[in-house]
Amino acid sequence: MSTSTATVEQHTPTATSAADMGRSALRRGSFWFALAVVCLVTAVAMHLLDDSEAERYGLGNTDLSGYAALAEVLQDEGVTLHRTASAEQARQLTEEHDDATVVIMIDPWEPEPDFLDHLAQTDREVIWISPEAELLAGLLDDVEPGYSIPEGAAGTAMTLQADDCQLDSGAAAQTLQAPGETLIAESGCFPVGGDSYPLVSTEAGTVFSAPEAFTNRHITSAGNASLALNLLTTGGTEEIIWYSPTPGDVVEDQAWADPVELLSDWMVPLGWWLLACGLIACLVAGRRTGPVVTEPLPVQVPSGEVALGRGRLYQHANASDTAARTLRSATVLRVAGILRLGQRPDPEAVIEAAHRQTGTDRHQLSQLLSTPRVRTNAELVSYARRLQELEEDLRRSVTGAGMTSTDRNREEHQ
Amino acid sequence: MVLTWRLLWVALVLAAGVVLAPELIGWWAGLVVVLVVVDLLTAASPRRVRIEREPTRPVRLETTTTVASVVHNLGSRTLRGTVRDGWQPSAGAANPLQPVRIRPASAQRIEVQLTPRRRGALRSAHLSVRSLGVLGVAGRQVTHRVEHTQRVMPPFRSRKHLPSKKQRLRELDGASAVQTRGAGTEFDSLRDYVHGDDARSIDWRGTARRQHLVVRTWRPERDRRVILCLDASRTSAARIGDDDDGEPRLETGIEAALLLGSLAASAGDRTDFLAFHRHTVARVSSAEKGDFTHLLGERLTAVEPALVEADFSRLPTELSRITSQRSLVVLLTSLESASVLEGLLPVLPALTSRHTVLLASVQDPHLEQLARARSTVGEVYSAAAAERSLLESAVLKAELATVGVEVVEAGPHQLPAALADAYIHLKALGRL
Repeated sequence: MSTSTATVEQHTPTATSAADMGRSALRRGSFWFALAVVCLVTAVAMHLLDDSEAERYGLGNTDLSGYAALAEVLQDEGVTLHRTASAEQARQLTEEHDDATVVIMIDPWEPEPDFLDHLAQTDREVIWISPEAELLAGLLDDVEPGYSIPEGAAGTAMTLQADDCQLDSGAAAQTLQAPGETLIAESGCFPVGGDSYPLVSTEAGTVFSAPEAFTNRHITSAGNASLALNLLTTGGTEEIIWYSPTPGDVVEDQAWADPVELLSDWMVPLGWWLLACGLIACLVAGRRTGPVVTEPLPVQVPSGEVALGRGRLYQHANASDTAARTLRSATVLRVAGILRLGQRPDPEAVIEAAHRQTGTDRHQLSQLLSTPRVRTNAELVSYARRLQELEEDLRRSVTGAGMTSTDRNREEHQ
Repeated sequence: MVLTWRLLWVALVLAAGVVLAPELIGWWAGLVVVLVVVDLLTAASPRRVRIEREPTRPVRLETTTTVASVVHNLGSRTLRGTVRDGWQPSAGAANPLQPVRIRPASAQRIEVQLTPRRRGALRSAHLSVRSLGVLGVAGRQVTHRVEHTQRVMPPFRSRKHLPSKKQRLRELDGASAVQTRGAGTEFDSLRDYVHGDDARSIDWRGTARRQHLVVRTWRPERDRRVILCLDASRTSAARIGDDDDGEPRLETGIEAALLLGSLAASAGDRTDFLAFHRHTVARVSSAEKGDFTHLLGERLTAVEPALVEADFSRLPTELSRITSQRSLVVLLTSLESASVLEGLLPVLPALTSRHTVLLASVQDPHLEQLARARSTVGEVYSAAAAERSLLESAVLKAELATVGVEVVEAGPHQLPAALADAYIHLKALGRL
């Protein structure tokens, strides 16, 4: 039995051409695409490799707002800094180092309450540092937010005097100059407006509300450096636990659930299933019906190649003289053809005939048609154009004359 | 092994099962595997088929043809699936991929529509058979290397000129002057003398019978010999014209050879054709059995430009092998100085001494465009180079004229008609 199949599946030419267009567009844009990918990869790599800290009051931050200078000096003094961002780790550190001073850097996240309770039970040195007087007042019972440190005429903060300061560090420093806030307390150092101080001693520890004073920008101003060193090394400690809370500390551990657990039971198996479906799709689409068919291409050469190549050789060699002579010979031959002067015309005869036909000056014509003197490319271009114009003029005048003579004949016949 | 889109749809439907019973995902995957295995086991063997390619007839370029292959199922199961005929892209296969359903010990004819885009022997090297199982989700595939060839003849676009040229040949009847005297001229009829007729052609006996002047008229000479020589060397590979309507010199030469060959053969001249580069690549004679135009078209299918220099030195020998009679030798080549000066010119005296030689060459309109453009430095240099090429070909033409060769030069689409006109002109002059 044999049946002929008329209607069959076929590749529509539009689909093929659309795919071709897509492919060619991809090929055209491939350079820019590659460039974009390279830029992206470089940016990501630089970001990943860049280990410099950008956090404000960060111990490793070497910018103007950082504490790198302070950290460096402290380390030179033999102080070991244990930096941590989590309360859990800070708790472990306090257990490991019994006599270490704890610095709580509150900017702007609050520390974990459990850790504060844990600190309250021990009697170690605690230093609270924060630019936010409000936050400090909320955490500590015996202080209230006070005035800001006033600015001088030039916009810089006023230099504060220690006055009668009970804290050794404050007394040693004598002066403080930095923008910041103050706290209202019974006593303190560097008073602003009477009962408001940036450095206060409380039950929970020493509180400092102008951390800008210890930044790389301000550490050298007034007695700031002395205050920083004296404050942080109070009690002759050689270990400092530097705890700067992060948002993770505020939320309880239990609140952070595994996102997978939030999904329904069927989501993960479905994901795997769809992945398998994708694999099947790849296998189906990737299987050709038979091998790729190639086209044996015939030999073909664009015909103008030889002339164009020779033209480029002329240009490379700056052969303006040769080019001018070739152009002249061709024009003379064609002009002779127009003027019916035969196959091998005498140049003088051509000049004479052209003069008679167009009325152009003999001297000009002889300059143009006998010996061209062309030295530069610009001269060559203008020479070539003049030759062309002459030829066009001649052709126009000859055909014009031809027409009039025909017209005359016609009139005679009538 | 092949998988089908149907398997993907089945898998996507089963995704609903995965949602409803996620713990049974292993069973769902097993089900898919079972489906595939069942299909693979139930598919007919694509290897146990016999492919029979039906012979094709040569077709002209720009026409559509149907080629057929018969697939015999030698297995014991029904073969379901698709076959793909691997025609090369320029064959322009409209439906190479076709569904099949062949019962055991039966066959199916696969017809593929071809619209060739190139002259020559176009090939399909293989036929791939994809056999699917009962479910149609998987199967097996085998490629059978059975060759199929479709010969594509030149388009012979210039055949539109043929009726008018034949008409002009007919008009020559009775108007032809005869150069050779005595035997060999062919008497046609007597007619009344009109002013201007050659007094020598007056038939005095007829005049005496009719009481007014009667002249003899002659038919154009028949049974002359025309030999067409097509140069298929490197110069014929040059493509003239733009990409869209441009064609290599060889194609124009083939068109011109077809028109002139058909015309000469229909005018009763013995016409021979040979294509050559280093050696003869095709040869046709009107003495052979069959229509000369068709024969010529068929033999020309396989002629392709070769990147070698033409060997003109063998031409006189080849021509003397064809005939010892005086003939019109038409050289279809190019007026390129290097090849003509070194190859052809030394040979020409030997040819012109025995034959009338006509050289037909395609003019490149691109050169004249290049010579006219003179706005930038680069263009002026190109113009100078183009002018130089034109000058060289003008010089060549003059040299050829001195050797006694007539040159026909025309644009790619005008050359066939111009060459036919030159032939008619020579015939009218009785120079054949």
